Amino acid sequence: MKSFKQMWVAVGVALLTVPVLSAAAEIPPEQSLAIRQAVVAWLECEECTDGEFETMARYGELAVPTLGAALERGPSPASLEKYRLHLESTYQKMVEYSRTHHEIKLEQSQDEYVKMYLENYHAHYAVRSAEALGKLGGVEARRYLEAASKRKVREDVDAVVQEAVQRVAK
Amino acid sequence: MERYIRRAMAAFVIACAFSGLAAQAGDIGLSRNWKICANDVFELPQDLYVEWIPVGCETVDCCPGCPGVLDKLSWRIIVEGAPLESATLKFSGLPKDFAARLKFEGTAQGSAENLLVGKGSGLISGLPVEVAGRAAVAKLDVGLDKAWIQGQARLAQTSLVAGAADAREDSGSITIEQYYGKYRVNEYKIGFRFPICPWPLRDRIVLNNNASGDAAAVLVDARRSTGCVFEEERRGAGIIGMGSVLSNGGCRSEVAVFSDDDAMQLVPGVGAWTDFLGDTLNVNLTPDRLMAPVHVWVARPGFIALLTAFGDINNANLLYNSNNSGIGFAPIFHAVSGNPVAVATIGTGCASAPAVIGSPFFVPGQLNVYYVNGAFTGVNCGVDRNIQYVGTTANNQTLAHEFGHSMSLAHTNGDPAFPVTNVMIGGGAARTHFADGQSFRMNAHCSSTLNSNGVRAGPVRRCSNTISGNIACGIFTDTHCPPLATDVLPK
Repeated sequence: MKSFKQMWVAVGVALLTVPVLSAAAEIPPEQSLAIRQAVVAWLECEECTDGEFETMARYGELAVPTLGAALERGPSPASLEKYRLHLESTYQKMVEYSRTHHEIKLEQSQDEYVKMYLENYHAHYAVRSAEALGKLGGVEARRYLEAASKRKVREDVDAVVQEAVQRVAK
Repeated sequence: MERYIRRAMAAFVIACAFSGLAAQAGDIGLSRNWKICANDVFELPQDLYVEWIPVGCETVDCCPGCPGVLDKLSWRIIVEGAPLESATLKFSGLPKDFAARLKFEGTAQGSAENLLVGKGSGLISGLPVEVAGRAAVAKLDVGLDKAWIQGQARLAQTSLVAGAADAREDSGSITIEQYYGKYRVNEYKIGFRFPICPWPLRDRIVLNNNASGDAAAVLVDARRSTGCVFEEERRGAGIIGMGSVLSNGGCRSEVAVFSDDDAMQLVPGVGAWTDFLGDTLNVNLTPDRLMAPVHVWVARPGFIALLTAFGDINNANLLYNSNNSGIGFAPIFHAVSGNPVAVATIGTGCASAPAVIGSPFFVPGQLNVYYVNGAFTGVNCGVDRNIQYVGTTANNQTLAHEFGHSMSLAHTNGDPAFPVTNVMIGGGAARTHFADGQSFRMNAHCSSTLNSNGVRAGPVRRCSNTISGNIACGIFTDTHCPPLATDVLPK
């Protein structure tokens, strides 16, 4: 009888907790937009000398899931497509340009050219997200980094991930 | 009855989702910002106006903290401004079942294969958040208001005072916001500016020896009936109409010309203008581009590093020339990855630059680029602006960006005058343009490596919005420079 009552209490607590947890996980649209913009600015910055990390770090743990997803999966399909279109267009312009400007020598096919830079784009996202997760720290960040450290990745990416794992473990 | 309730609910959900969102659109940076003479519009290739917009979220988790119950995106498309009439969208790569079930509201009508969005606001709902493989893409064609454009072109024929014509410039824009429920998850904005460009029947500038015959950009300081004018922007391949320019009086009078395949021409103290009509200023566009020697040291092992260096230099040449900067790069490649002394001396970043400067792996007074085995994109070193490092995760614009720093340019982050495609934005993977205000600085700013290395000989300026260089500018150096954001999209 006691266990039956306990079960109902547990169910009641669970039912009350689920919406609370959901509400806690859900971020208002304006804040979500600000976090996205801050995370993307960090992921895409060149020298990152304009406070990109500090701006993102203000959101602390709220930025971690997006960084973790970027570490695991890289740029979004839409961002990849945007870059792919840019690379294809650039290559075509270079082909056209090389007909009249002999300082341009194309050593790769379009597919090779696109593939080379897309791989760098993936690696860049992984490196930046690993660096950020290592600096932000916390349980979730550590979980993402440890999972990444077990995946087979490019050597340059792996070095950054391992460094971030060590940093977050301290 | 149930159907009506469902429809009412759907309408309520859409109304809720899009209520209060207009205020957010102001934070969207321009992806492109065209400036086109109304009289040239119908002569330019139609594909100039075509853009490609991928469907989907900007981040791979779609949006931080958004609910996980929705699986479709909505697009809100805003067409505004007198010169624009409509936008046409043609989706490709969209799964057939999604394409068939798209819903259109507001000024949007048609199908996924051919959707017309009139002036105002249109809504597409039912787009996929993600499809297997590559993201679907919408091809955007801009519909111009032909009657309005022709009216502007007529005004150009009768316009006498060119300075006043700039004030009559009009603009339009197309904004596409992608939403996941209430959450904006991606955005795109393109702007168009249409100045009145006077016809060459009055005073004029004649460009001679235009190597590529391109539409050169011309910045003019002069005196008009309204007073002194600065950095009036004109464009043309040979003869450029100026309306009526008056004798200098107390005004500064100079011309700067930017053209593909030609070095920038800065003509100070122009004496060609009188108070009568029919004056001609001839500008000779020789020499051709200024070619900066670049030593490329490939210290990273593997053939791919060399291929990356080739690709980066190629794109730098393309970007600098196609934006009228008049600057090119002549590379000399050094494969040193097999030389342990070279690899150790070069290191992996600017911390090694002081050691590099005194080594055989550096050519003083010329640009030096080091391709190294470090997981970063690129960096130009403050200790010597001739030094830039490129890492393993660089994109195809990174080197062009670092060369911009070497020639005195700062980042343009946060400046709303610049589209996100500016090469000097401190991030992004699809940067394609320099502004004429930036090209002016790279050429004329006293501490740009183009001048400090002796690649360019000509009048120099001490411009604002620049970074420190290898030499200090004299305090009496002329500080007159066009605003940094002058002509942000020269091509």
